[in-house]
Amino acid sequence: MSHTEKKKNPKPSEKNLRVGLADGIIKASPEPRLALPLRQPPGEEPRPAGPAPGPMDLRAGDSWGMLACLCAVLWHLPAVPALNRTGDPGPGPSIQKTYDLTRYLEHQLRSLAGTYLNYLGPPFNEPDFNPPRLGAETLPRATVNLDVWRSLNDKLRLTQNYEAYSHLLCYLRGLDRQAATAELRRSLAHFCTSLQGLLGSIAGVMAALGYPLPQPLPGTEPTRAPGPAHSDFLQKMDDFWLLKELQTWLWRSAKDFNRLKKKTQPPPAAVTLHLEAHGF
Amino acid sequence: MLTLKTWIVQALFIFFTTESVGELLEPCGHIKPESPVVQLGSNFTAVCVLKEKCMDYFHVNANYIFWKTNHVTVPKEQYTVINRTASSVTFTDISLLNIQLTCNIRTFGQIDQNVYGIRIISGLPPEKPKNLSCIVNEGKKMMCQWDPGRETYLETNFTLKSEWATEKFADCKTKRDIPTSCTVDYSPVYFVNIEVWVEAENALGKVTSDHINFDPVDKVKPNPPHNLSVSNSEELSSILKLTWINSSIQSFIRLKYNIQYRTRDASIWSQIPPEDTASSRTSFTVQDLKPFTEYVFRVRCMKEDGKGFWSDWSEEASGITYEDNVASF
Repeated sequence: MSHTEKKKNPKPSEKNLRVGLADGIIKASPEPRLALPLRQPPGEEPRPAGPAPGPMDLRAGDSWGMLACLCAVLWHLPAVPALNRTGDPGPGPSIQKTYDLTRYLEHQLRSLAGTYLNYLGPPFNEPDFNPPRLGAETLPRATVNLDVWRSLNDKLRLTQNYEAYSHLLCYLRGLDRQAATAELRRSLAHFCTSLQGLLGSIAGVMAALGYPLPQPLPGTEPTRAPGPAHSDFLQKMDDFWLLKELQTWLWRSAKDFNRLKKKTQPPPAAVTLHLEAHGF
Repeated sequence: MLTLKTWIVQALFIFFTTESVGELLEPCGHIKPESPVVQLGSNFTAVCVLKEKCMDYFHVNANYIFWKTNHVTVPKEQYTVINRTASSVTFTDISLLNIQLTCNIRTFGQIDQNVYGIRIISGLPPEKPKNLSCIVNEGKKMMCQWDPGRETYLETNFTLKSEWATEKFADCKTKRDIPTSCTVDYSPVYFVNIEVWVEAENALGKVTSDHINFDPVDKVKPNPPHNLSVSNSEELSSILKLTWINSSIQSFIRLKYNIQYRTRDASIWSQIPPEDTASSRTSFTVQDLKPFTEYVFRVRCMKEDGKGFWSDWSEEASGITYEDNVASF
């Protein structure tokens, strides 16, 4: 597991980027070179051709107030009640399910992003499009220093995941897509529902391990408020970065839950010791 | 000609006066309840109340009332005169599905007048739906079916309900012509447990089935493998290599397979031992075949752990083993 990480995360040049919402100790490192913007990893099926891009008709402005309000409401939704499971075999199965769910969401996002980027049109749907990170500072950052990531305790690891997806879901729901096709709107709606499922799944794992759900701090509600000079292009850039950050988070969450899975399994060493004690 | 005209004029006159006055067409009384729905086998009582105006006009009271069901007079033993203006009739153990009940009065000793009429509908409350099960065909929405229980003889609505621990989904209402299954409106989210149940309701009652709780990924019927192709080997005349493409579901669930084969003219299929095809793959080499023989193959798949449903069989593909290099004498 760690050797793959070393390949994917080059030694970070200490860029002190603005801290994300989750925790002060996180220092973002430059994007891992393997996860290029929404490009397929080698050997997998090519990105499906999406429909012809719709008219470039993204409207800004009047919906932001509503969006901020909506995000505030969603953020303040009552905490998920602890799931009552009798005869529970421990958190293992639900961690496995959450892991499987992140892989499933990755699969869904691949085709959704392809279609959405085609809808945004060039240059966003060009395979070698790799822009600098303009704006989008409020998006929760998935990439993190490898040692920091390794040293996260379970509670923090889960909390970061939960908070990240809460924010991302909020932004995703606010994607302006009046001009998109009905098909695209349906795909987005389904993806939002699936993300909602992921949040519930993570909440279930946290409840099973006895951790409290993160409550939002006042003043930290995600608002997608554009600056006064926020053009159509910058808005599309925001959309682009949202999808990219979703992709990175799902990629990271798979590793997070894989790590959690291994921690909750009985280590093989213990089994060997047991056998030795019996004289084998 | 003249009499016809006169007749028409008189008819129109009567029509218009009665329309404006309205009295002659008002009912002489009414029955309560108006449109009952009654459980088969139960008792039922109706009350007919006469209007004073009518009672004066015809010189009758409640004693003059007699009841009819579907044009057959009801025996007097079932009547009860409540007071001067009201009479009731009681039926025990209703067994007809549809009864037309009329309240009538015998006027002037010989003329039967109808006062009011109602229709009694009878049926049964719904039974608890049983054997609820769901299936997700790959790429389609979840469909659930159940056993509705006995005939109710009434219009019974079935609603399929589904929810996560954290969120409710929209109700799925069955169509009239297919009351025992429903396809939900939303795409399935795999790896999140969902709770599903059915509510049955009609005019006589409402009942809920047992709830079932499952992960939709365990109820999947995958699409069959496609682009099946067969290739032979020059070196070994007893093998054929099968290759295929799995459907997109294999990117997030592991599959197992059944591979069957037969010679072109055989009628029964042989199957590769399932242990040998128990995990995700896109090819398989079949051994111990006869040289220079045409074989036909087909493949199907399902979730590796056996949960869910087998896919349909793939399209058949055939190939011919290579000639045997050993010269036969």
